[in-house]
Amino acid sequence: MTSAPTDDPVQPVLVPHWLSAADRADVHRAVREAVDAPSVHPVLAIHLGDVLTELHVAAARELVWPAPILRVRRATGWPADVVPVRLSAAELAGVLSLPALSAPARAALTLGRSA
Amino acid sequence: MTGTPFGAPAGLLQRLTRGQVRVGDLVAAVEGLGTAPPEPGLQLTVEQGDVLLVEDGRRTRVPLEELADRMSRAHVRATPQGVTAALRSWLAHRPVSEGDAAARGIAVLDWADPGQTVLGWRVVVARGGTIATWRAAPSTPAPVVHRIRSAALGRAHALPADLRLAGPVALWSLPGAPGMDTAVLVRPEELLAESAAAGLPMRDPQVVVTPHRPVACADAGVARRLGVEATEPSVTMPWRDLADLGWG
Repeated sequence: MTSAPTDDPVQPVLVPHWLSAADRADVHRAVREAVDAPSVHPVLAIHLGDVLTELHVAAARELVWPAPILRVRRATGWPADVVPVRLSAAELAGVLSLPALSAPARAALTLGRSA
Repeated sequence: MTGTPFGAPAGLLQRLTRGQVRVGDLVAAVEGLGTAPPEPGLQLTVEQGDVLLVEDGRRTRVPLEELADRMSRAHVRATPQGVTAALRSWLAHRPVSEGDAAARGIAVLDWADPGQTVLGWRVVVARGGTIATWRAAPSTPAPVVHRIRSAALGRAHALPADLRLAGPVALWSLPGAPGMDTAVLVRPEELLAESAAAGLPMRDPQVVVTPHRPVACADAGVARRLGVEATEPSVTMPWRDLADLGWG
C-alpha cells in the first residue's frame, strides 16, 4: 500500500520482467544509444528515458523491499543478479523496437526467464 | 515491535506434532538465563510458581503454567533448547522500561495507526534481534517524556548513515542499526545536502518511507514510480512534510 501524492496522474500498468545483470546492461546500452541519437522520435525518447529511470529504480526497489524478490529467486533458483524491471506497454514496445537490442535481452523481455 | 513473542513460527512438521511445554523445562530455562541474563540490569528468577522479572525497580510476575501454556499454543518446540530460545525471544519482546528508553532509546518513524496509513515518531530500543517500542505510561510526567524523546532524537542524529545512489534515487540506511533506518529522517536537510554533494541535487524531492527499511528519496516522477510499485506498506510524501510528523 502506498499513499501517493494527491496530484498523482493515472499510472500505466507496469509489468515485471526478470532480467539478469547482463540483460539490464544490454538494455541500458541499446536504450542509451537510441536516446543519444539525433534522429530519435521525441515520444520514443520519453519512453526510453523512463526505461533508463526504471533500470535504476529496479535496483532501489530491491534494496528497500527485498523480501518478495528473494522469495521468487528461492522458488525459481534464479541467481542473485536477477531482478524485476517493471515496464509499461509503451516502454516495452520502445525497447523492443531497438535493432541494437541483443537477442538474449530481447528473449528475456518477450519469452520470460526459464532458468 | 517486530516478530512473534516466542520467535520464528515453527515449521509445518512441528505444528502437526504439537508438544506440550512442561513447567519443568521452563523452570530450567529461567534458571539458565537467570545466571546469565541477556541484558545487564535484568533479573530473572522463579518465585512461588511465577517467573519474576525485575528491571529498573519494576517487578513483573507471570505464572509459570500460563507461560508454558502460551508457549505450547505457539507451537514452541518442547525441548530444553526450544524453550530457552522461546524464553529469550519472549524477554526481547517485554515492554521497554522508562530507564531503558532514557538510556538508549532511538527515534524512528513507524506506523502510528493499526491500518498503517499514518507515520509518527516513536522511541525504540534494539533487543535480541528485535526492535521494541517504548510506550509512556499514563503516569509518566510530561517533562520526562519530553526528555526521553529529545535524547532519542539526539541519538538518531548521531547514527552514521550510509548513502547510496541508484541513478536518480538516493537511498539511506543505517548499517549499524538494522531495522531503524528511518531514524535518518531526524535530519532531513542534511540528507538533501549529502545527496547534492554526492552528485544528485533534487528540485522537488519526495521521500518514500517504509518503516524498518531503508529510506528512498527522488524527484517527484521517479519517487512516484518507486512508491506505486511498493510491495510493503509505505508512504510517498513531499520532503517538506516530514517536518509536520508528530509522535505516534
